[in-house]
This record gives sequence, C-alpha cells and structure tokens, in this order.
Amino acid sequence: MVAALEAHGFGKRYRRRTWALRGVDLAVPDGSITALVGPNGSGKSTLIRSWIGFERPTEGSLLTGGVDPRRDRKGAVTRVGYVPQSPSLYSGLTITEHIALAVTLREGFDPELAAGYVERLSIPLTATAGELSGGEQAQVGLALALGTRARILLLDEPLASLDPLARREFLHVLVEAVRAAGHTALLSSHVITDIEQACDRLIVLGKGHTLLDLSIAEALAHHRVVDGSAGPAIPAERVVGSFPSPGGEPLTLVKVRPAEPIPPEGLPDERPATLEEVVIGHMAAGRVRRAATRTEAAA
Amino acid sequence: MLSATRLTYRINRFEIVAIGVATLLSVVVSAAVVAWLTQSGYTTCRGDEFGNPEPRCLNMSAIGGWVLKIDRVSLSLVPVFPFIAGLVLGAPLVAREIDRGTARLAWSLSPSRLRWYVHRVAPVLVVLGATAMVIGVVADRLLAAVITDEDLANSFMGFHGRGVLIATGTLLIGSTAIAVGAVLGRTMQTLLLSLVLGGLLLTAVSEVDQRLFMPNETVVDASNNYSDRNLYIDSRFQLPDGTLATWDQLVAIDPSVMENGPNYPNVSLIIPGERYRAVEGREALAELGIAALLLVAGAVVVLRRRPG
Repeated sequence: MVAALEAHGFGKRYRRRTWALRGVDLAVPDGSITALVGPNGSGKSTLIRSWIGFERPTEGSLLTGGVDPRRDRKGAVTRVGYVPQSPSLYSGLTITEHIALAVTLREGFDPELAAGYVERLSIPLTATAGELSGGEQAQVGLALALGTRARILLLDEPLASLDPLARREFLHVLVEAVRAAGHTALLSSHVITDIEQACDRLIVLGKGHTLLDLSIAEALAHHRVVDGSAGPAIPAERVVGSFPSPGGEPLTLVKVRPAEPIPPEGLPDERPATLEEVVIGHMAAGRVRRAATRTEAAA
Repeated sequence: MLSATRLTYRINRFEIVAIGVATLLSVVVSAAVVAWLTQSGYTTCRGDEFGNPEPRCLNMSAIGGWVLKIDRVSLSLVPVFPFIAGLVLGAPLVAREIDRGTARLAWSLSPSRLRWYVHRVAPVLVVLGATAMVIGVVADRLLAAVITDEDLANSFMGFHGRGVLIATGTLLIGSTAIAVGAVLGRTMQTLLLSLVLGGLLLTAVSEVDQRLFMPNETVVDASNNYSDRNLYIDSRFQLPDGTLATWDQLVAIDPSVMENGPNYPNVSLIIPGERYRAVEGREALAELGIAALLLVAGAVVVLRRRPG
C-alpha cells in the first residue's frame, strides 16, 4: 500500500502539559477517501493541522505525500489542499476575488476549475463571502482546495455547521472530484451516516490514540453488536466496548473474524454492527481505557 | 503583484480609505489656510505702539484669527498622525487575519508565507509612507505660513512635528503594529501594546540621539537669547577658566554658591539650526532602521507561528 499520509509514533503536547495525541501510527492509502472520526478533543484537528505543517510534532514524525512537514513545510503545503474547520474566507471579498487571491498565492492554481465548482452549486461568483450561508462558504472553501489540484485533500470537519442538504452536496462534489482525479482525501467528521456514503476507510481517534484504522467494509465485517452488557459468554478479548442504544438499552460491540459467530456457538441477540455502532463502541472503549489509565496513575 | 496589491487594498479598504480621506482633507484645509495666509499677508500684520492694527489688516482680523487657529490646531495634530495611521493600518494587517482565521486559508494556499507577508505588508507600507510624507510636507507648509521670517530648512522649529520625521515615525509605528500583531494575533491587544511600544521606540530614538550623538554637535551659546531656531539641550555655568559646570559640579567647586547664589554666567548648550537637516536625517534613518528590523521580526514570526 502506498501511503499519501503517514504518522509514526506521532505525539503533540500543548503548553508542556496536555498531550493532544500520543503514539499515533497510521497510514492513509493513496487514492482513498478516509474518514477521521473521534470525539471532541480527540486530536483530529491537531493531526490534520500537523500534516499541513501548522503544528509541529512534539515527538514522532509525519509524512505528507512523502514529505516531512516539519522539515519541508513548503513541500507539504504544495502537496495539500486544505479546508479548515470554520470557513476562513475574507468576508469583504467576492468569490472571484478569493479565486484571484489563490492565484496570487499558489503557483499552478486552476481558477477555472475552482470557479466551475462554485458555479455548479449556483453560488454567485460576484457575491461577497459575508453574504453566503455557512454551507456555501464551506463549498467555496472546498472549491479553493480543489483548485489547487493538490493530490491530497485535508478536510477538517467541514460538515459541522452544514444542514443535511448542504452536507450531501458538499460530499457529492468532494467524492466526484477526488474519484475523477484519483486523489486522496482525509475528512474529519462527526456525522457517521455521511461518512459511510462518501468514505472507503475509517480511522477512529480517541483520547489521543488510534482506536481503529480499517476500510469501511472491514470495519463492518469485523464487528458485531450484542444486546445487553458484555456477559461471561463473550471472550473478554473480543469485547470492544459497551454503550447505550438510542432507547437506553445496553449494547456491546465485539470483534469477530468475518462470517464467524461469537462465541463459536453464537449468541441469540447477536447482529451485524452499523458503522455508527462500530465508531461509538470504539469511542466508549477509548473512554474506559482512559479512565483506567487515570485510576492507575492516581494509585 | 498588481493583483495582490489590489486584493490587499480590498481586504484593508476601510482603513486605507479612512487614512486616505483624512490625509486628503488635511491637504485641502491646509492648502486653503496656507493660501489665505500667504496671499493676505496677515502674519506680517503688526500692531502699533497702542496695539491698534495696521489699516491693511483691519478687515482681516476676524477671519485671520480663525485661520491662524486652524493652522495651529492642524500643526498640533500632526505629531498624532504617526500613531493613528500606523496603528489603524498596521495593527489589523496580520493580527486580524490570524484573529479571524483567514490566515489559515491563505497559509494553506501559499507554500511561501513570506510571499503572503510581502503581499500584505508592502502595499500598506507604501500607503503609510506616502500619506505620512504628505502630512509632513503639509506641516512644513503650515509652519512656514505662520513663521514667515525663518528658514525652516535651517531651524529646529517644529522638530519632530514636520517633514520626513512624520513619515519615518509613521513607518516605525506601523511596523511595530505589524510585528506585534504577528506575535499576538489579536487586533485589540495589538493596538494597545503597539501604542505603548511605538511611543517608547520613538522616544528612545530621540533620547539615544540626544545622549550619543548630540553632545558632539552642541555649541555654547553665551547670549542667552533663547530661540526656537536652535535646539536647546541644557544649560551650564561658565567658570572663569572657561570650563562649563552643572549646578552640582558648581556646588562641589564653590560651596559658597549655596548661600550667595551663582555668580557665574549661565550659558546654554544648543545645536544650531544649521544642523537641522543633519539631525533630522540621522533620526529618520534610525527610525527606518528600527522599522526594517521590526518588519523582519514580523516575517520571522509569521514563518514560525500557528495560523491561529
């Protein structure tokens, strides 16, 4: 597997105390659309910002398109198109002026391509960014990132403030553009349903660590949900984590080999896990692990 | 570069238009004041021994008083211009981009942050320098209109309040605000800190000049005819052997002065007006040098910092 983005023992500590991430090892395959999921404060933005050289690793190393962003930030930025968490447009500039600005800042920026994406979404090029809705601003941000023609797209929770229709349109443009050009995209998000439709790979971060790094198909095939809390019938090493269903009933996420029942003789309440349950189960596991670490540290 | 300059103007148009309009207004008002004062000859009006105005000046006194007032008020406002223009244009330049998050977009698009920095800073420095130079020249003309019997090229009248020092002072304050803004990334805090820091730097340039260089240029003026034309530095007592002494030195030499008073001639240490251009040029160069250092410091911070 050729990796577009890599992290090797990556750690980032803020203000000499809080570790946002530690010991992260992962690789985002070239040509994939990967979802980066995790609760607030799990370090998703830190990781994305580090790949573009906005943050310096405290330990470990990163590679962005084969380039270490700490040593060669210019090289890393050149390889990346970035859509920040909150729309970062100049409120007084028109969309045309944003495209002109990108041309002045980035060699090889394709103004026609960027303008084409904006126009396709019926966003007037003469409108100022201040006149646009949050969704439209996110679309413009994506169009600017696509206009760079960078092989890697980093999208830091661009869907957070969008309504469902705007989210769908955003993902449609993203997937189409990335698939057509054979590029790589890393998309951090909380919205699991959208990820399932758009992404082919899933990375779950929790409490500063990688909790899961699989293709979407593998993530679904390798997990089952059992009604009720993990009982003695399930081998402990198979239990990922317990969490409540929307109705409040306890559910347990367990790891399996594809097409293998759990335990070998099976359980009556076992069923395939949804992607949301896979993510939530691993997040719950991360929380329990964190609490245990804290207790050990306190002891 | 032309497109980048236009976009920088668009991004900072409120500040640039505000400073531009203020400068234009100042030029128009000053031109009218200078024209009226020059043509009317009002400043040469002298009263007779009983205080009665000359006949030619009789009809001018009402309007002349107002024009003179405008002239003086304008002159008193000139030293404030470097602070207003420098802070209004310099503080938001980098700080606001970090504050509002637009630096994230710009720095993710631009592999070279230095290019972004130059695109932002250069056009604004040109506007700052040009408007401040205009204000400096305007101040020169306003002063020349009321001080008709003085060669201002050879006089310290209005020192620090006219000419090229207004331009260099504005660039110094502006550069301070740009550098501080790059460090803080917060507009309001940048405004406040740059106001203090810029004021201190301007004072420091003048103080250092006075302590390091001016002592070599001072001459003794025994006439005691104090004139704004010369730059007064200090006063001394002249001993019979010609040496100069401060009050403390005099008391040490001759303690009787404590009771009898100093019976030694008091002389002034001055820099003659003829040295005005040299002193002005030296301080202008110093201010430009510090401004350049601050801009380099701002660039280094931009290259190293997070985009907010």
